[in-house]
Amino acid sequence: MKFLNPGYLLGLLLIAVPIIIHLYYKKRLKKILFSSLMFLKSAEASRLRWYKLKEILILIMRCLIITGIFFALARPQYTGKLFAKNRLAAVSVIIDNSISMNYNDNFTNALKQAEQVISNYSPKSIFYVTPLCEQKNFKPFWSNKHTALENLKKIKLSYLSCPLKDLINNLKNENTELPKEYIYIGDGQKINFKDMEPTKDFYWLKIPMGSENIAIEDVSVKDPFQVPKDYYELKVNIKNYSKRVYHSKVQLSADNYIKQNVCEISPGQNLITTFALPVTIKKGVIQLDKDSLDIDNQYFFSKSLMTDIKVLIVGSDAYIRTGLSPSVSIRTPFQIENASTIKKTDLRPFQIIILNGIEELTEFEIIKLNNFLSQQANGLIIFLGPKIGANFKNFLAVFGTIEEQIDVEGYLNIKWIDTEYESFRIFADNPGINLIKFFKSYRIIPRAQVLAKLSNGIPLILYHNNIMLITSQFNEASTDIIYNPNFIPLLHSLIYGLTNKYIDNEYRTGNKFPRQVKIKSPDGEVLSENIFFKPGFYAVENETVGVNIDHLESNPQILSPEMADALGIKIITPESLQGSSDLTNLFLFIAFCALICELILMLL
Amino acid sequence: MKNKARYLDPEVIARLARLDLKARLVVEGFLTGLHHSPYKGFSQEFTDYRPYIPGDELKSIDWKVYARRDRFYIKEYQEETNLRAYILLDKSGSMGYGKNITKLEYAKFLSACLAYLLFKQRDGVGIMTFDTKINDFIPPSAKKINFTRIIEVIDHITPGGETSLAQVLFELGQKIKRRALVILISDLFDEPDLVLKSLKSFHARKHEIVVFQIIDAQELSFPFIETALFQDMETNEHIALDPIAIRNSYQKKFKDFLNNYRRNLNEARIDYELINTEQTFERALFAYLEKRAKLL
Repeated sequence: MKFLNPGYLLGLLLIAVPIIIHLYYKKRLKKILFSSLMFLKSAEASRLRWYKLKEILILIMRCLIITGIFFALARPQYTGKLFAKNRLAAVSVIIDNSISMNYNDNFTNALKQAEQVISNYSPKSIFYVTPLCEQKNFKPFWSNKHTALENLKKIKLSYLSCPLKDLINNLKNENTELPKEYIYIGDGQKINFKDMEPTKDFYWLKIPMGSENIAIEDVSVKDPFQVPKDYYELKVNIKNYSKRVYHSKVQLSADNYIKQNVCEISPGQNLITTFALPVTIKKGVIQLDKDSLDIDNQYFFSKSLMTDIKVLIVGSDAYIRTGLSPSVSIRTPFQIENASTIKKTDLRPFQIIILNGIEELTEFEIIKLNNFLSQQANGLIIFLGPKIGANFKNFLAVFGTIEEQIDVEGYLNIKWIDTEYESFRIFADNPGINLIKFFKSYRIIPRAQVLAKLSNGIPLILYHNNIMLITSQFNEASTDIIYNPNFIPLLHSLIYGLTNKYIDNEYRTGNKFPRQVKIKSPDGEVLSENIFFKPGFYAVENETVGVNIDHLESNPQILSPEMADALGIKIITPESLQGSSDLTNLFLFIAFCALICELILMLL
Repeated sequence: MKNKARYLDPEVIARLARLDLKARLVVEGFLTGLHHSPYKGFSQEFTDYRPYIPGDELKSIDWKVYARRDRFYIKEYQEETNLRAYILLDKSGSMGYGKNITKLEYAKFLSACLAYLLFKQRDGVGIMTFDTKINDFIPPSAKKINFTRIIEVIDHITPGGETSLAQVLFELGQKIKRRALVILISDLFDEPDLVLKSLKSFHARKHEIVVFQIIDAQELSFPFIETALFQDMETNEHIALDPIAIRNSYQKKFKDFLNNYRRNLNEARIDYELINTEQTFERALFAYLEKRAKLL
């Protein structure tokens, strides 16, 4: 606390006056001889105690009146401990520029507070002004006060989501002679503090976060594999983070197709609304009514049925051809050709080669296959037949040690299928997949990723780079899958898993595209590092990719004081940044209250 | 008569020097105001004649007067009794309290007056002064020398000590064997239950008791305003008090204290008279005479 007119504090010496009067009066109390105290003592013992207490209370009130008046005259100013002027430290000022700071004018406010923070430090302090989320064209560095204030102006809002953990760890490793202090200025979304370790001298300057928010959590699309439908089923999961019931329109607009669903969501609840999306759709946007963080009310998606995938079936095409293209009424993207060997076939036009039960590969064929597979968009699917030659076995060695083919007694079922694998997601909660019987299979000790297992535990489907290995053949002798409704979906998803799998994937801001291709941002700018930095539609080769912000940015959950305490974080508010607050009125109020109390006491 | 009546005022009496003189003035002033003399009675000493009225004993007729006047006259004599009266005078510290006249001074005058009255009536009168114990004791006697000694004792009393009335009454009970009239003059600032018990026990032994409770007007009204250190005149104990704050409660307690004595003594048929030091002695003397009349 400091005082603008400290001279008035001398007036506090006047407190001595009522004290002296009290003591003098007490000492010089007139003595009255009275016949007997028996009626005075017995009658009013409690009143005597009250009388003594009252005297003391009145004295305190009088002292308070004097204190209050002279403190008020001295103009006391409260100064926060942290931001006392001329503090000397190596200060890391972390500005939360994540999109959740786009609530109202929170981001502008955060920058203003940061200015105040920096200004309050000693000119000899050094500053590392950094945005929480990495920002293009801005590389933070240690600087003096003046430069730090300049650097603040360069920080912009970002669509990325970034945890504090990595940033703090890097900052901790910096060598400075001055004591280190960390000041995070932001809304304190819980996700920002994920996995963070307790940090000494870490301060969180709290910018209050809005909670009037409704957001699209995620969108899932069910592919029309199983049934020859003309529609995708598109499920939109919306969450109401506000404290009121939310009536909203959910609008799906894709090309010329527009559809609206009306929904009502209770506070804190999720709602899933479904759209039927024509398969011809290439890209679209799902939009909710706006609220305080409108960026999470838009969801960009890209969805189109793949077309023109050229598939070469080497060996028997029985069942496989039918599975890929069941009838003319079902639209499939496959153009299928058949060959007996690879040797005399030009592989270049094809994206997928299926080796169905072939026994051996020549070294030349292996070279051809390797050349083919060097193209990342290409894929190879191998169904193992009754025999495997030595060269072929060597070629398959990347999958593990392949032992003899077993002719099982009875049959084996599919025990497990990896529904985490992107194109196998459609088999989640599908009990029919476990009913498929296999009569023949190879025993294999796997080294590659296993995507499905049979009931005796041996792998059925293995995956390595862009090759799928199926340890059985899809024919009558080996399995009854050809009569199972999951046959076509499984066959299709094997190919989908190998080709163009980045298409239809959901990308979030901050994700890096897995391959080095030319990507154009929604603004038409060509990306240099293939990192999606803002939501919208990106042109990736000939396809469109929808990119959305991390849905956790919508979540208004902030770090609780208890958790902050556990992490050693001290919470401060923008008010305490002002350097001081005038306490004059408070002390005048105290004096006034004391006066009223004294009058009441005297009347009692 | 007017000049004599003014001597009934305690403040006037206080200015006089000799206690026996004071007592004489008070009593005679008092008697002047009465229509009938209290001295009439059966005695060898002639006092007056009065006309015969049917029912009077014939032996009382003065035949010599009849011979002279031809009318029947009854010859009256000053009463001569064997009444033994004890005046119990409280001299404890609390009796020293009083604004214009202390309770003890008042009590002393009252004692002297009563002694004089008794002496004039030829009753045996004695005195006993006490605080926590008996201090002076003069047995009752109708002789003039006894009256003089009583006046001397009363004259030299000064207030001091605490009150232990119950103990004193017990001790007195040991000394008085014959039936007697006991006149207690005190503020009764002692434990009421013990005092009442002792008085009742005394009364049960056929002694006649008259209680004069002497209080000062300030004790009744508690007129103090200023916060002060109040000191107990008996124990010297002191407490700081805001008199205004406790006045109502004090007055209630004090009145309850007085009423308790009045009620209990009346119930026990013990004569009780509350005397305020601002009152004249008339009331006390009347009370005594009424009591004596009952005894005759």
